[in-house]
Parts: sequence; C-alpha cells; structure tokens
Amino acid sequence: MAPTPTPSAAPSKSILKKSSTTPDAPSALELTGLTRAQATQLLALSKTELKPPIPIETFELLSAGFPSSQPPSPSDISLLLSRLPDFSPSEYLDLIDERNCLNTCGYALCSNPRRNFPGKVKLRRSGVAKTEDLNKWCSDECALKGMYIHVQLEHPSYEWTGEKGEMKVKLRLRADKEADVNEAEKAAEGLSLDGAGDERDKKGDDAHERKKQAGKLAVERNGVSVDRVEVTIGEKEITQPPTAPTFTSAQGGESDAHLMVEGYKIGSKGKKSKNTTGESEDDDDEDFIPSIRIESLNYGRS
Amino acid sequence: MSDDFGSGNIHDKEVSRLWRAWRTIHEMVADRGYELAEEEIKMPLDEFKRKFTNGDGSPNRSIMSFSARPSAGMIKKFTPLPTPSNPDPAPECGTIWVEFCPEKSSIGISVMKKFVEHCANNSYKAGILVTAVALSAQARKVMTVTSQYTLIECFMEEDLLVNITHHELVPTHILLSKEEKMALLKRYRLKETQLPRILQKDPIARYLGLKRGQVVKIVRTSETAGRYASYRLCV
Repeated sequence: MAPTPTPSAAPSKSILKKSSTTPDAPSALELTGLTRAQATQLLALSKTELKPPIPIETFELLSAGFPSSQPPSPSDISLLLSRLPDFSPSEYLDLIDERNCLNTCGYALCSNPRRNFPGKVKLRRSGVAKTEDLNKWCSDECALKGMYIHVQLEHPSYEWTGEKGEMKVKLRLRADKEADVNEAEKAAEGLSLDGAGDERDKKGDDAHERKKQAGKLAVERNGVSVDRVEVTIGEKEITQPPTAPTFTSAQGGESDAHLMVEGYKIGSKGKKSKNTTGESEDDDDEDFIPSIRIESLNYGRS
Repeated sequence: MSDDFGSGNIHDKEVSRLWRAWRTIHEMVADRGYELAEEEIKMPLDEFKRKFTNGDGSPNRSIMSFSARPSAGMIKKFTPLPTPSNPDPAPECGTIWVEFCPEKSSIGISVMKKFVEHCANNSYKAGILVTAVALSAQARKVMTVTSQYTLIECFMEEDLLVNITHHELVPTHILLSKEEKMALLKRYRLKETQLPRILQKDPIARYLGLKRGQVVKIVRTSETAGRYASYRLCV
C-alpha cells in the first residue's frame, strides 16, 4: 500500500492521456472539474516526462561560429541560456564534443581554439589529468565555466518561467574574474547572477531592485506574478486606561455571569438559545444519542 | 608524433593500413553486387602508393573516393515484383558513393552533413564514409535521420583492415531477393517473424548493408550433410 493517498481512478487515467498537451493542461482540467490541487499535481507529473531530443539545428547553432564575438554579446548569452535548459547532461556533453570537432573551446561562450597538449596525460597542480579531457577547453577557466553548467544540468533546480507556469532548469553562468559577464548578463533581461548582489547595492536604486526581486520571487513560488499588496501599519490610539471586560446582556446577562465557564453555561441542556458561542459538540451528542435509544426501543417493540 | 624516426616510416604504416581498408571496401562493394574492375579491387600496394600519396609519402584521402554502379544481377535482385498498379517497378538500388574522410580529429555534424548533401545532390542511392576516427554522437544522428533518402553507412578504417568474410569461421551469407524470400516463407509455411534473426549492427550485416526485413541465407559446411543452409531475418 502506498502511504500517500492516491487520487481516484479518473485523474490518474488522464495523466497518461494528456501527456502530450502540457501547456493547456490546466484549462482542460478545469473543464473536467478537477480541483486545483489535482491540476497542479498533474502539471507537476507532466514535468517528469521524457523530453524530446534536442534538434540537430540547435547543436549547429551553438557550435559553428558561436559566439559571434569575444567577449560574447548579450544576445549570444541570452540565446544560450534560452536553449540550454532543455539539454540533458549527456546532450550538453555532446555539444562540447561538437564544438571540439570544430576545434573550438568546449565552453559555449568562448570562441578561442582549444588547447593542444601532446601526449596522453599531463601533470597538473591538482594531480595527473588526461590530455584528452584537458584539450576540450582553451583554458582551465573555461573548463570550470563549462562544467559549472554541466553540474547544474545534472542536478537541476527548477524555476517557474512566467505566465505559462512552465518549470525549467535554472541555469547560472559562472562569474568571470573580471566580472564583465555580469554586466553583459544583466543586459540580457530577466537573468540574474549569483554573487552580483554587491554590485547592485552600488547602483543605489535599492528599493526598485528589491521590488523587482519580490515580484520574481512571487513568480517562482506561485507560478503567477502577483501585484504587491500595500500594507500600512498604524498605531492604535489609546485614550483611557484599560479595564477588565464585562459580560453584556447579549452574552448571557449579568445575572448568569457566575454560571458561565469560558462562555458556556453549565447545566443548560434544554435551553439552546442561551448558549451564546455557537454549538458545542457535547450538545450534538446529547441530542443524537437519546434519539437512537428511542429508535432501538421502538424496534424492540415491533 | 616525433620526427626522430623519419617521416617515411610513419607514413608507410598509415599508407599500408589505408591500402588494406581500401581493398576491403572494394571487396565489400563488389560483394554487394556493384560493378568494379578486377584491377581496382586487387590493386598492389606499390600502385596504391603511387596513386594516392603526396610527395612526402603521406596518404591523400580526398582523392581516394570512388563510385560504382550496380550490376545487372543486383538490379534484378533489388527490383520488387511487378504489381497491377505498378507494372514496371524501379529497382531499389543505385549508384554507390564511397569516400575516405581526411578528417583527423573527431567528425562532427558539419562533415557528416557535407557528405550527406553530396550524396543527395549527385543522386547516389547509397553512400559509405570511411573514417579514421570515431563519429560524434550527433553526427551519427545526422546519418540516421537522413537515411530515408540515401542509405548512409559509416565504417572506421580500423574495422576494415581485415575482410571478415574471408575468415574460415565465417560462413557464406547470401542476400535473398524479395521473390526468394516469399518463396522461402511459403515453402516452410512461416511468418516473417518465425525466422531466426540477425541484428542490423552485426558485422556481417553491416558488411552486406542489410536493411530491416531482408533475409540472408547462410550456407555452412557440415560433416554429415556436406552443406546446410539456414536463414536469418535482419532486424
């Protein structure tokens, strides 16, 4: 037995059927009368489906003559970051291979020719490395940057991407030493870099930035962007010293005040109207049990 | 790698390996039923060296490509039976193009696409690319995606050093035509799936360029029966 409560047969059947129609799944589900929770569950399930392979054209685009300039232009960066989340880790390694076939550095944002160490192994500071692996890149820094993306694809963390409610792999570029990528990447809209927070502080428009971040956070949490609700907190004016609360007549009257325990009057079974703070469970039981008794008595007689 | 040994030595080894691959690929093309001249198949090493090496003795792969037309027997074998709707069917085979890839690093999409385009533009029905190094994963994909139009095959030079069909433990494989296949199934009252199978990636299946659904007859020598034949369906 599964420990989690499984949904009824009907929704689980529709999981398989609607596997191909991911984007308009929620609206279809509304028509079938599923709850919002079930709909989101289905949506989450559809995310786990096998993705179609990356078309060969994408590989060509990202390998031959890419990036067009050095350092890469913001458009190149945004193009790469828009395509890469669909890649599986092995496909990313294929891309590195493909770039190496054209004798360029394996890191997709570097247009330098790759290294060409002779021999089978080479002594590095970290130990002995295969030249085959070293020759995939133009420099150690590019190797780090390239594998930084690979790690993110291998252990993906997902983020919501706007109105459609689609989740995709969150990718960040490794920060450059000269931090020129930071600038370029910020220009590529909507993509932030980790470790770039201190730069933003310098800019001064802190409040604006925070608002933008909050909006993004809302999108990430809910899948929909919510306008910020303005909350103003004001102090309550107190003019006179506080006094102990007293029973008003509506709460049972001053005459019965000594009989009340936490708003209930003890021993007032018949008089429901006097019970002020709603129905208690005790009362329900009291009403219910005698009726059963009477019925059982009746059955006994007949 | 190093020039201490003299460049001639190193190139000699490469050239002789290439010559063996050249001979095997010619034998393969001839075994499939294409027309090739005897002196082309059995070219001696000296003549090969004279023809296909540069001044310094290094092989020149780019001029080693050749094409071959199917023989009359092959055309007959690959022509489907005439039907009322199609009384004069076209044969399912055509000129083959064989190319040796001069690429020394690994082979990517661009090289593969160029080869496929060349085959398509010159309306070759089949293309064989002989490479010195392995294909990249995506290049392999290009090969399979476009194989509906022209049948593209790839062989590595090191796989062609020896002609496997000449080995004494490899029995004769004969490709059956559609007609012969139907006769076989009828004779033994079999469905296609009831035949034993051979994989498409089997070395012999690759050598003969078998396609899915084709049947080969395997003739083995037997101590008791002299010869016995079995059949395999390519899957």
